[in-house]
Amino acid sequence: MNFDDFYNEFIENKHDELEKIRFDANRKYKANMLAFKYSTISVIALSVLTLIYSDFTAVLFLVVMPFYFIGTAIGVVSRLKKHIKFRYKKEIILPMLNYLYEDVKYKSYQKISVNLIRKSLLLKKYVHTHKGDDYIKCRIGNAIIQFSEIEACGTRSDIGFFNGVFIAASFNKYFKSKTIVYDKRDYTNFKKSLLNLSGDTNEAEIIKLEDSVFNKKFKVIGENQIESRYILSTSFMQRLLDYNNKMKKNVSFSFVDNKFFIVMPNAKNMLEPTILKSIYDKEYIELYYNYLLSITDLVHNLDLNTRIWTKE
Amino acid sequence: MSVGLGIFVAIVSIIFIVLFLMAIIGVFIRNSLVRKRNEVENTYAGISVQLKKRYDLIPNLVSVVQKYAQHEKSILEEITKLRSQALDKNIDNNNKVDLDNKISKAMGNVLMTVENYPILKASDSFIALQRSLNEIEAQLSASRRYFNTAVTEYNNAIQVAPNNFIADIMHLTAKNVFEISETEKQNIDVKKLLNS
Repeated sequence: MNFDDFYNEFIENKHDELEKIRFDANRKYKANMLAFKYSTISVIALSVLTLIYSDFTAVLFLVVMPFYFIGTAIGVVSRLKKHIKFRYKKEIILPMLNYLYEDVKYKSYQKISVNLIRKSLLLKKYVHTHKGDDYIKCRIGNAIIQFSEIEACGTRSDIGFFNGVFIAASFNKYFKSKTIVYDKRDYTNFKKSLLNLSGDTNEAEIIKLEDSVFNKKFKVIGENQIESRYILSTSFMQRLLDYNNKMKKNVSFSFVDNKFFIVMPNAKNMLEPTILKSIYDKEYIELYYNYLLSITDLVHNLDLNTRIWTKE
Repeated sequence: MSVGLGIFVAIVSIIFIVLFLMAIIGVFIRNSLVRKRNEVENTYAGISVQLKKRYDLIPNLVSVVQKYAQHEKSILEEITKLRSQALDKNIDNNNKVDLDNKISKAMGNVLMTVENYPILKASDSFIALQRSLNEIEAQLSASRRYFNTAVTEYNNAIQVAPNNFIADIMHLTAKNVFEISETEKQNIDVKKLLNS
């Protein structure tokens, strides 16, 4: 799988109406932003003059102008995004997904179920509601993966306490107990007690593993000492570490109900069109390609495809 | 009350308080050591469970291999004999580990022999058996790792002061961690065999 091959085959020759719409909108946006800039300067200049001459009538009239221009510019962007978002996802993102994964189900306006997020026990607060988009379910080899961008909100539902990607994957071993691998920076000593008190875990304990590098990076909580070690074999611990180093983010993992969950913080809203660059801008598309490729890497690096164990 | 009597009462009180505190600390240390010793025994029981599962697989392995490889009678007889010895309830822990290593070697020999019988290697029953064996090996490895963690914590606990005084009174001695034998490392690499 190579980005250049994908780009040459699916994107390069597309110079159609979609880019024309974006180009026109971009021109309108830039014109309005320019007008906003100059009208703001004019208002400031006039304000100074009217302060000197004590006549505010002109300023009261002119002060509306910058708001008009900035409002129009925002309106242009929002209308454009609404107009081209659906087509962008269908014509650019979907081919990318089909190129990278198998059996793709893509719902650009949907998000991963809140029940899965709660079940994962990965986020530090109770997820009351969540926002999000770009729900993707696919198969990579033998592994079934589903993921989406989420903004998790606590009890005051409008305030998000986590922004990022939530991934749920089928795991290649059977297990009955829960094991949670927290990035140490996201872990507090209170967390284990809280999980036990709330009934989310059943007498979970800290699992002391043999790998000192892994212990420096992660804190592991599990319900069953042997099963947690069965899941976190020495080679799997190394792969989790390698993946974490590669992503350069505070990645946390959990193993619940025979599923493998991963959360990765990410402030940027991915897979969205931009007005400032061409729809077919190679660098921009490559950013999204690499984001989606990181999911494939996850399956390969963590060896989730291997089914030599109990699972067929 | 005279000053001398007052000092005497104060000294006796201090001695009593110190002894009382020492007794509480002693009880606390003793309980902690007992917990750690019991944890080691529990974790060893975890290994025994997995070993039992492995022994239970041997008759199946023998019957599947026998069907296709009748000329390998001696290897199959050896592993069956070792299994009978391992299931003897009177066997002590040291002999158990020794027998376990011998069984690992014998199973490795059986799996190596299978390489010479492609029809057997490709049969559904043998593939299912290998899958179960792989699973047991992974669980056995997890149990041994937990055992080693428990033993290391126990050994640390009985060797540091002041725990070592209580440990001496309780006749607690250091235990050995589970080391994977060289034969096991070489012979029971089922994953390698599967991929070959």
